[in-house]
Amino acid sequence: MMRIINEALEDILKHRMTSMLMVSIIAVSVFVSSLFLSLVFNLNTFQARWSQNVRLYVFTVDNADINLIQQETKKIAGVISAQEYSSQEAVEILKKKFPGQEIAFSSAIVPSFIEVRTGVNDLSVVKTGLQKIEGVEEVVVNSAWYDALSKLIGLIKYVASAVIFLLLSMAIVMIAYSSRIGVLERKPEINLMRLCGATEWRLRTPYMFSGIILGFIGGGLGIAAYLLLKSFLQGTAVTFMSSWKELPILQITALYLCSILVGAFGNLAAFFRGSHE
Amino acid sequence: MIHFDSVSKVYDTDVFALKGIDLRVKKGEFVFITGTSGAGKSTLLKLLYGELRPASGHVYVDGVPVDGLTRTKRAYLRRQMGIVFQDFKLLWDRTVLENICLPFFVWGLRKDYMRSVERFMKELDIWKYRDLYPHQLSGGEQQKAAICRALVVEPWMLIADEPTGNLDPQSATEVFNIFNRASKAGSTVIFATHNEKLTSLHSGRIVKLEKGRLA
Repeated sequence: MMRIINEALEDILKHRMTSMLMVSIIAVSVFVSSLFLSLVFNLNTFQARWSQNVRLYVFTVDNADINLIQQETKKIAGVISAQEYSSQEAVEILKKKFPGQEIAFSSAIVPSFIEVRTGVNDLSVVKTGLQKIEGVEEVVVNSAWYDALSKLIGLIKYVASAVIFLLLSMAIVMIAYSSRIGVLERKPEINLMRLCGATEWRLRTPYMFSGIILGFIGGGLGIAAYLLLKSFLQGTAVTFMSSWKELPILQITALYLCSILVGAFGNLAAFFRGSHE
Repeated sequence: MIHFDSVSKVYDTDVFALKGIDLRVKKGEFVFITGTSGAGKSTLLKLLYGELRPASGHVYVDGVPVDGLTRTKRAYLRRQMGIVFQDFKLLWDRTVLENICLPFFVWGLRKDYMRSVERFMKELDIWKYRDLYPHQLSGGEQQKAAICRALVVEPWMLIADEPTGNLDPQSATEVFNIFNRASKAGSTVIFATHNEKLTSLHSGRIVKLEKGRLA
């Protein structure tokens, strides 16, 4: 194993310029990906916060056990509160909302309801959960503005995810092309090693390791650049950055792992193309 | 046991390199493959170590068809062979010692590999060149290094493709004697050459190829 790691390090040092190019490609793609990832993460957070302003109104059938429905409602994931309003309270709310038209409302025609507040992005899940509760007749969501905003956010998230995917894929392709030169240069040696009894696994492992090392360095640089930018912007008077949340460590780790995989896959692709040409 | 069973090989140009070869080689046997340039000697050897696949027929080593092996199994088969190439195939950016140790680097280092390397290098009188690069050696010395690389793994089958092709008569005899010694030590030797004088130096079987057929 030490021999293989040495071969990987030798390869990196021998092709310094290509290695630096590969590190740069990975660093840039990870840096840009982290910006998009941060955007997606914060849009999710904002969306969850905005969803708290959306109310779901649960109307029940006649003679339903309101207390039981209220308890069941609170059990649904994402529900923050479930407030019961009797017919009389409903009338009072309407009278306050439409002053001068009090005569139009009476407790005989306004039903009691439960007002539900949530903290989740996808209200349809909560709505479906509410509809399943026994005694619930109808669930009304007052969310026209929220739906429009959700669609826009969904589109941005979709585009951002696609950009991240494309960036990392492009990085693999670019690494494969740049390190192919090194593979072609070593082709006589690779062929000789094959003839001496090297398995394909033995031949490709040093390339995989050098890809992992370069991905590790490039990914580290990309994430460091993201964190530096973030702390720089927070230090300046960019006000919206104060509510901009840091990427969770899990997502940063996942991105770092992706950069290592990008390095490894890029180099392996170069090996497959180069050694079989 | 090596068995060529009705083996034919055609290159892209529709020209038969080998046609209907039936050949059996017993373990420990010394076999010369002779013939003029283009007779199919190199092709025959390449089929044996699996660098080429036959167009028809099969090549068996110990009853196993070489052309039907997976890449990994073919790699393990090659570890039982010592191959000496016509063009030496030495790595120019590695020292003579590194070139000779290559099979061990490929397989994983054996505990006592240096002892074996030193013994064979001294036997071939190239130990003194261990830190030199191949371009600093003469043709004969380069060939000795290539032979040494094949011998250090102590293979049961030694395949040599024109190992004396570029050498003067004295170096050729010297190189030939190395194979002779390996044969006496029990290795099966398949020795391709167009130099018919060499065949008189050993009582081994002579297989002659003419335009891809056994003569």
